[in-house]
Amino acid sequence: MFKITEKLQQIAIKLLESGEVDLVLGYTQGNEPCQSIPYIATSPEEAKNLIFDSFSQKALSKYMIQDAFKNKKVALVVKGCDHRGIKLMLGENRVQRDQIYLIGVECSGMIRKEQLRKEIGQELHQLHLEFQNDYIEVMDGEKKREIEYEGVLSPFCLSCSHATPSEEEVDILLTGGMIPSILKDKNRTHEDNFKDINEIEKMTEDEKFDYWKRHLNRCKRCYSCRNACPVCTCRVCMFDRENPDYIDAAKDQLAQHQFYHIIRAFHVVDRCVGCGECSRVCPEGIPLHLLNQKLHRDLDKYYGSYVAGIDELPTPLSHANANEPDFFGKEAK
Amino acid sequence: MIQESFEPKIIAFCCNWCSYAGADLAGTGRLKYPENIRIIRVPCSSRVDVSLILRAFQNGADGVMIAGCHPGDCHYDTGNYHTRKRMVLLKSLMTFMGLPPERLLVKWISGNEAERFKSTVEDFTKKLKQMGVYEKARDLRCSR
Repeated sequence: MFKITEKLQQIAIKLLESGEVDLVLGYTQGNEPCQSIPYIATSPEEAKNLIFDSFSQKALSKYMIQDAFKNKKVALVVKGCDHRGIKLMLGENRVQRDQIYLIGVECSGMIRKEQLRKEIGQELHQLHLEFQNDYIEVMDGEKKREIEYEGVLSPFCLSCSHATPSEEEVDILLTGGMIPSILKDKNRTHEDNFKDINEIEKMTEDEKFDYWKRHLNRCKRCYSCRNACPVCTCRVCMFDRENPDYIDAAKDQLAQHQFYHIIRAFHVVDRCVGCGECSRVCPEGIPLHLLNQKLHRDLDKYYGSYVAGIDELPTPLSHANANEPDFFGKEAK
Repeated sequence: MIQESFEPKIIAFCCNWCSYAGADLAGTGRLKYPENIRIIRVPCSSRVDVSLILRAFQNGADGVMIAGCHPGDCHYDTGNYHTRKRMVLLKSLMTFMGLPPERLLVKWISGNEAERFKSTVEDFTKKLKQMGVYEKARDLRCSR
């Protein structure tokens, strides 16, 4: 199985036995196959349930802003994207560095369960998965099949260039896991992620509107995208206000959906780490990452490249100066 | 949908220090500008959050205008730099989502540019009249 799991359990047991941390926040096997769910280990016995595999997608850093974790020393399992998220939270004083112990893990790319199910063509129960370098070996009793990584890995992981947190910034870095060769090659560029954007940009105005209308009208306003986002870290979200002036729960109003998604894109765009959680968790499969990526690309185009969580704070939208291009000057219009 | 009698509604967010003074000067100078405009005075053009603009569109505005000091003249030094940074992104996102970005106008108008204020409003009104009623971002429960 996954080597990192063993190392993780060892370090978690050590940390909990010595009392260095109060709890370890990691993942454990969920009720269904190919599902890892967040798990809090508070004793060495519980630490034996911790795992890390290709399905540990959820960013755990968001738990740190909850009241229950205040005044506790927490060991946190972080992948590359999670670590970038938590660096932003540290920079914005959402959490204090001495409050957390970071267990960095070498990320082997996250596998989309739905895609895997589609590729295999049957339910994942009773199947045994063996992760090889170039393919996934699926064993159904005696039958063996090979599934390519390309179709099942999250597209965001395929072009990820910061999969593993840097060693200096985490307290301990666990490596030695199996990394699919497709991720090692790094032959995919970030531009591959923007394919959909280019296609949408080619549409006419009405086609664009219809495209987004079709997608956004399915929005249930469940706020999963907000809750899963590792950089959406306001203590009180503007959409949670008791008497909101701007937005309500009306689901038959396209304008309200547009409003919610535009505002959310604006609130996170400059800090977006590109983990793709927003569109993964969406129960309606709305391609929400496109909004963030589009804005992010514009930011890069107009104001220079900025990689959230890697480059220095402040983020592009939280400062402004005279030297930036003016698109609304006398000459432009 | 071009109607003869269509009068667009324009919400104008005017910065207190420059553009509102410019509008004021246009008034005291007896310059006539279209009455389609509803001016909202804001302390600084960077006060205009994206949500305010979207809310104006939801509530029946056919166009939104944001007027601030010329770059370099901001009363708070950097306010309008923030405005232009945000608004160029909002315009590009509006384009991306199929909402016409021409309905959002950002203009730098200083306190002595009454003539510029007048011509801006006139041009914008004319353009919106051609474009017709704006329904795409409207909350249908809000009456016109």
